[in-house]
Amino acid sequence: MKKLMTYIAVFIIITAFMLLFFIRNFPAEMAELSLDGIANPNQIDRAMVENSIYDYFNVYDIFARGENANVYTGNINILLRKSDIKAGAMTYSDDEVIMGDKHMEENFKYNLLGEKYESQFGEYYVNCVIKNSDKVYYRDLNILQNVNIKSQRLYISLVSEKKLSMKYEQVISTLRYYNISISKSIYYADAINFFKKLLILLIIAEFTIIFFKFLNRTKKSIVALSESRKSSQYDLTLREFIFKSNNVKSILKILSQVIILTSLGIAIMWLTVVILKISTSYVIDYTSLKSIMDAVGSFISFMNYYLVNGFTDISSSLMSCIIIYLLTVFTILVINVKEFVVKLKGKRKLTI
Amino acid sequence: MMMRIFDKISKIFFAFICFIVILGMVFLSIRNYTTPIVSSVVVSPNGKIESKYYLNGVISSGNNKVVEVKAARDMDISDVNIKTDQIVEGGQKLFVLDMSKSTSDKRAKQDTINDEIYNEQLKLDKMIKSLEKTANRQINNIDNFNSNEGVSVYAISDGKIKNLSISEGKKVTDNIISNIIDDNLLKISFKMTGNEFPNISVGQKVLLTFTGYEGYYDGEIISINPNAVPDKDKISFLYNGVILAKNPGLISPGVSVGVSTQRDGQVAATLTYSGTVESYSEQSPVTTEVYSNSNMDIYATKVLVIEGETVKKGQKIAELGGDDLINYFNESIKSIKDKQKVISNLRKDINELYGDTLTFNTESSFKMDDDGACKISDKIYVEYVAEKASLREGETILRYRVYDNSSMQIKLMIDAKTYKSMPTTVYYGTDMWNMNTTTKLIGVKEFAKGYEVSFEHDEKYLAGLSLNDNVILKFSIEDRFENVIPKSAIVPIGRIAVGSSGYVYIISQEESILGDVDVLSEKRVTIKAVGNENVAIEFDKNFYNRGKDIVIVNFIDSTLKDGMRVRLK
Repeated sequence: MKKLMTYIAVFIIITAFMLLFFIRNFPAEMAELSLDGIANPNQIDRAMVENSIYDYFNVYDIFARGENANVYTGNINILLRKSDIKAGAMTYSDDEVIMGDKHMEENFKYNLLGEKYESQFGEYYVNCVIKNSDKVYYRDLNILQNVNIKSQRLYISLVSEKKLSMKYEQVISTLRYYNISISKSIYYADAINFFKKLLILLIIAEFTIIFFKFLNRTKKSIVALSESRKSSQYDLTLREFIFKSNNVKSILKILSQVIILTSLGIAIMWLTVVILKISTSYVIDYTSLKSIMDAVGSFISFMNYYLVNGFTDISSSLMSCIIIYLLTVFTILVINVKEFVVKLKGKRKLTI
Repeated sequence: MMMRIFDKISKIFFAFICFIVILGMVFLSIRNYTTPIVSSVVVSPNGKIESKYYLNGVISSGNNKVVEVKAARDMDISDVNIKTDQIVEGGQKLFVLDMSKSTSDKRAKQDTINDEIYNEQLKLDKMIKSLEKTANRQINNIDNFNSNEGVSVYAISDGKIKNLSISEGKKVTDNIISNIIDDNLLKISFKMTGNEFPNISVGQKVLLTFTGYEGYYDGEIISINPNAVPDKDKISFLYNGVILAKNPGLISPGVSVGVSTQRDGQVAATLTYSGTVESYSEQSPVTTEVYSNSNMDIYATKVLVIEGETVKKGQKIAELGGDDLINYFNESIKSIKDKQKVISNLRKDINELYGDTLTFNTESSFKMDDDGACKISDKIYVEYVAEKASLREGETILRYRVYDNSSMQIKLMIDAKTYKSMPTTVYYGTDMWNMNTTTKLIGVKEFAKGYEVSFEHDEKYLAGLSLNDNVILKFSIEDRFENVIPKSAIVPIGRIAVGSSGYVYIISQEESILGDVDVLSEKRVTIKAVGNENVAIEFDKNFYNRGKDIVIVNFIDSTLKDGMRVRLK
């Protein structure tokens, strides 16, 4: 029981850190949409206006003459906000590029910030340098006319012009109306809520174990006290029995255990309510095996898509989380198997 | 006992305090970790907005004469060899109209009418020539022919008027009005005996003596009749010949002339028979066709010469007229006009067979052959050419202007606001990185949508550019505004444009139990001006910052919230 509690506690700590990481790095209002096919900038712009979405970032991954690059429309700050950047005066014009420092170091011997950059697509000004990135972001949409567009991603902030939250499912379905079909999408709030649910679930499990542990102890204490009372019922009055020093301790212990049990019970119930209140866009029916299998299938397909098409920030973070969980499980299994083998060896020695 | 209880309570309290402190630190760490980190920028209360304008212009022709070719009937185009915006050399086939829809019947009818036109045209030409001959003047346009002018008679050569047969106000009685003679040369007939004939030949120089004139005068035998004629005695035969000689003075026809052969300028032998002056060498009759053509009563309305007067070739001698002549001319004019009408009607008949093919808004060197192939002799710039195979009546097939390299300009359409901001001298070039050359505004045309402005184009600066090539024009304007912020510090609703709104987040300090924290305050602002790198914004009227610097978040997106705690980078 102790071990199980320890293992659950480890998972609780890991999940808590993951939750904090996601809250910090992935704003709950944002959604990352990987498009199935290519939608032109006007199409995107129209769909956004019709949906009252005023803040979005639309990026095309392109490949031309052996070089990967990105062309974007919308608010570049969605990319820059969390990046470590060195920016000059941003013009938001077609002759502006944003360059990753790794790309700059690979291709140039000097700092290109604010300088003219001659690429295969033309001549541009480098107005911003992003650290730890090897990408180049162009704002010049003319580039799209003569290149191979590998994929397109859309980052949308689900906040309307009047600062009201918008329904993710509704926005996705409306985009389809504008012939913008989504291949894979991640709503950041879903990822955060997933970790919240998992954390609460683990806490409920931990509390439940503690609850039962205390329940057993309380039971034992009550049984011991009642047996003690039975044995002394002819010698001591109830008052004398209660105020006997040892019994006072036992009664106080039982009372504290009952309080803890009650608190745990209330906490479990409250957490259950909380977990039910947290909604995600992808709903799994835990009473249906098919639903659970579908969810697993979707998840595999989801990870497979990003393995083929390249990981984005959130997908790579999710993958890292999965790897951490798997490593933890693997470590626990290794520890337990080792203990089991040691025990087995000990028993054999005794038998000999 | 009391000390033990106090000691125990102290321990519990210490443990509790430690727990609270650790818990507080954990929460503080969590809060710090999850608090968004933002960049900040100060709103400039009087900032500079520099607006750079890059405008796309096109090298255009200054020749404003646009020729528009339209279909005069429903028709098909079988081939188009040019494209819109193409520069086409003169003589090149532009397009071919499909003429195959003309049926064979129509073609046969057209051939018949063409034959009729040809015959009628011959008749007309004959009538006009006849009238020209009668009126003795050239007729370019029958409508300009004035019957009352009558007939003018002109001298056909230089010479003297001889035998003038007309007098003013009198009826003309002969078609020969006068002779114009040249009395400087005389034609003299002479005779040769059978013995003399072998010694005389054409071209031979002879010496002549005239009655009343002393000495010998040169003459030349210009013809000899080799056939002898009997003499008056009927026994001997004589040969006739003609001598040409200069008139020594006032010798006139009929005068007797002595003829001698010569050797070295001296008389060798004198002919038996003397010669006679027959006539002057040049004698031109002045005639009028009027008299010979009809039985009209023709009168000399003016006689401008007298007998014996020397006249020059082309000099007007007389004017003839009379009612008969006027009537004759009027009838001739009527006949000619009738004939012209007949031809015109026949041509209309052909047009009615097919209808007119093409119409033009102005004169052009456009030509179409029988097969429908259309060409133009000038080098042109094609502004528009129809790309579809079938055209309805009135649709434009081709719109072009004659290509003139010397009148190249840079033209562009701009809106009224840009036009008002634009200086008269701007930079221009083929790309935005090489714009060191300036150009001047040379023309402006106002339209409902904006202004068409023209700038001069100097070929020596931008060599190699031709019609319809793109150039970029650049100019910049600086102005100062209140509340100027970088473009990256505003999330616009829609595009960053004057008049549109957006959100900015003001960073202010707020007291908490852990000290001052930075808190965001969301403000909706209106964009007042847009520069290259900055925008000027206007806060809500209720916003008042008590003269302090306004610090806002830079590089923002909509995930920030009003009241959100942040950490500054």
